[in-house]
Amino acid sequence: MKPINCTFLLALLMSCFLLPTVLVQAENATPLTPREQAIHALNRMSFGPQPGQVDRVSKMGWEKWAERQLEPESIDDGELDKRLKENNPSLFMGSHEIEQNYMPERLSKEEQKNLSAEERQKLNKKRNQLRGKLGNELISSVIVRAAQSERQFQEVIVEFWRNHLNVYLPKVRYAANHYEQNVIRKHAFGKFEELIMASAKHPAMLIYLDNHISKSSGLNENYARELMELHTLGVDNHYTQEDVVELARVLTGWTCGRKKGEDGLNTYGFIFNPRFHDKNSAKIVGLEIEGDGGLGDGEKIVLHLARHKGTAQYVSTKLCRYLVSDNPSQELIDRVTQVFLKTNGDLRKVYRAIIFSDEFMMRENFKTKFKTPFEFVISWLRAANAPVKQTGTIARTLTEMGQPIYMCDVPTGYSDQAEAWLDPGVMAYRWECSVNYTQVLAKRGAVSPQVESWKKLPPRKMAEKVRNMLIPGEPVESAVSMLMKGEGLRGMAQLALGSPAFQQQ
Amino acid sequence: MNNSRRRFIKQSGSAAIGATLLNGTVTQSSLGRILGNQTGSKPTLVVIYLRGGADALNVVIPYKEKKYAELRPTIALPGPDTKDENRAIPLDDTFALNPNLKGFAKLYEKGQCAPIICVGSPHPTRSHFSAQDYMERAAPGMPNVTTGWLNRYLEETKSENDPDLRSFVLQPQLPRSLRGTYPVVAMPRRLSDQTMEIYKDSYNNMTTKRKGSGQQLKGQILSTGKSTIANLKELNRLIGQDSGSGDSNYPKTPFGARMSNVAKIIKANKGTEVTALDYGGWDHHQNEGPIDGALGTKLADLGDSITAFADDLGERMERVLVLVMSEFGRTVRENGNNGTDHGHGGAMFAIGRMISEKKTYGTWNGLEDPNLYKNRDLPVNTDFRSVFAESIHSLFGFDGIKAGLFPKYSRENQPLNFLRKV
Repeated sequence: MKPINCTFLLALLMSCFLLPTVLVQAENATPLTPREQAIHALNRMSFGPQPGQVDRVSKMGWEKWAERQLEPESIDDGELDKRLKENNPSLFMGSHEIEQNYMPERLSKEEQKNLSAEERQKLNKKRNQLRGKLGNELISSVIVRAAQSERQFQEVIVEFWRNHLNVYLPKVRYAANHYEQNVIRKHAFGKFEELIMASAKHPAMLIYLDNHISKSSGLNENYARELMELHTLGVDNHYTQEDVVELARVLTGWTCGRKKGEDGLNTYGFIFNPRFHDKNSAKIVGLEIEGDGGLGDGEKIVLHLARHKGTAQYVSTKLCRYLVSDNPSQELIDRVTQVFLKTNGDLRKVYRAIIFSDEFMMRENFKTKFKTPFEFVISWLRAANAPVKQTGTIARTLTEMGQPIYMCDVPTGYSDQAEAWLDPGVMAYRWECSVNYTQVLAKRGAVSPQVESWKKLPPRKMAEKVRNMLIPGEPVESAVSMLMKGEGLRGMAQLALGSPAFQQQ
Repeated sequence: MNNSRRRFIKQSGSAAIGATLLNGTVTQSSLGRILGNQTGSKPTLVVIYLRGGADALNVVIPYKEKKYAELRPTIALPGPDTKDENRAIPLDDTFALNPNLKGFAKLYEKGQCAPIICVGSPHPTRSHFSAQDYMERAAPGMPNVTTGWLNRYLEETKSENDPDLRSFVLQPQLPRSLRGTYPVVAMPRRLSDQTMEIYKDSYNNMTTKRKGSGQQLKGQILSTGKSTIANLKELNRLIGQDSGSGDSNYPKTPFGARMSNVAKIIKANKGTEVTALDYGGWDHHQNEGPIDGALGTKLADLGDSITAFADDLGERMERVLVLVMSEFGRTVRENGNNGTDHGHGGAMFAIGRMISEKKTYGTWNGLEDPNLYKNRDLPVNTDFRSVFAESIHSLFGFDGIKAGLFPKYSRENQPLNFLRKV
């Protein structure tokens, strides 16, 4: 067979994709309608609209809604806080209190020796139960807050940093609850460098990436590498393997141990141990450290990394991908990077620069993000206004879908990009989840009375209601005709949740 | 030609793939495939990826090197010449296997298991994520190549009548080596036929008429759903079948179960050419435990599962090659925490009845400082692409290097010749 003429093939190829491109551009030039704007804002700045919310936001104008979301403190979340304090008290405890409440009483070595096998077993059982309870409080708080907090943008952003500064619960154990509350949540709307410093000095991160056991006499590079590769500069960006080793040396002595906390109580936490510390000079990513400034040397280099231009670029890119599009324009990234640098990493201003950029509300970014399993599950809880009580079931569902909360063992955290989740088998899980949940809700009668009343409507009306509730961005005609193939309210809800439209945001 | 494919050609710094696509080389070689028989008991490549950077030196142990025990005071394995009950199993005068790999040692004796040493990436990165990307895309140092090497093989040799299960994985997410334009089935686990029935209509009948980027994503989700329904039904049937023989030998572990299911599908003769399995948790920075700790228990599971698989497939292993790999090896010296940090050169295993000779493959330089990479790691003496190329050449008769499957890579040195033609 003769090879086909090259030029001809090329021309054919060109004509194939140039034409649709022009059409797409024309289509994308149409601005979003106020209703679409509300849907888009709710998709990206919250975990999806609740019943009636699209109407409310579109009426008040999305910008006004977004302004408030960007200042989470201005939104009252008292009712949720009250419930969390009752059901998830560990989130609000200091390390000392967590120990007191979630660890069995500590025995002296002598007492431990004298335990019978049976007593030992009993003690271990109690220890595991308490630890399980602590972990469940953390995981359920993540689900409840994401689904029900009025401060939705805060939850969306917290989910971003939770992955950016990922820790793995089975390894960090007792430290994770305190980390969520006092590192991630506390600094998510503050300065980037404070966030990084807080993570660098938290037992959860030190234990997770092995820095607590790194000594001048026996170096462990794990944290030093990930601090540059994942938390600040981004992979192979401005640093080399030599920098990794040097940084690991400077960070020796950043470890955990017992000390008097702010409350004056003896507690386990971050300490600087000069005996572990490498006192020599070092040069890391252009910064010269003379050596033996003790803890200060490490602090200097952590700040240097957090303030680096490469860090601003890397973090801005990641945020634009998360909030705007899997492929954000370089212009947008550059502008956001400038804001990051000018404001010395003032995260609130960085988010604002992204949300109020022209790109954010462009039609070409409308419904272009594929929901992660977490976003899929939470958005459906919100859309159905489902009571979030059985968080254990929800957590298990997320495990099956490959995104268990606080259980990502690799330090990258979970990706929010379609390429990581849009796999050939992905819909199998989502269909199963849709079918199970709608069944469970129907059986338990846990659907709101308003939704319950739809059961009496004729199929077409019912389909319209389901469309408005679950896939409001879909054109009415095609959505309704698709849904009407479902049997009754439950059948329609199953179809809507498992449809392509519900996977998009 | 869909968009991601275009993106790949546009972005791959070298014009290698793009050029072969346009100048007709591949057109001709694909033609041979099209004329050939597409179904039945085809040769199959099973790629197992150990994520985290497995510690090659405690898997294939250079027991004659004095430095080995010296540099690893707490985590070195006792050599085969000791009386220790956990002593390593000797392969030859230089190397021994971790005692947890008893099954591999037996296969080795039969000439069906080839350890490959000092193999890896020419790129120096010690990042798990970059190293895995580069390796699974077989494009070290080329971040713009975004398709997996196995997917490129499938794409380059595809035909009109490819069987649906030509490539599948039994896990929710595709490994990067199988990402790309060729449709690969990823089956998370069994989904009831009844549930699929609910969505069948809406996925098979829905189309996207309108343009715009949201529509593009919708189209992707639709086609994903359609193929899921078709393929899961078939996989449900195959895995549901009790094949009788062999099942009981697999370890009762998630990995063992997956290997057993893969065997069922291969035995069903559905024309499967490529499948891959991810196995996580090999990043042992502390308390490595090569005998009965973290590394040891994992190795036992890995070895027993693959050995059970080879027994289960029996004669079929004439045409089934299992390739075990990891993104890099680890530091030659143990670190301060009875573990090891990220290194460079690693090890691979090839298991099958097409192994050409009973020996350890690859070049060994010893553990003296000047022979180490940057004074700390094993060197890379064999480029992983050479192993990949030889594997698909032996199994499928496809010369990937000539066809431009490996961007910017041309055959250097001698290939290892660890495989006979199937």
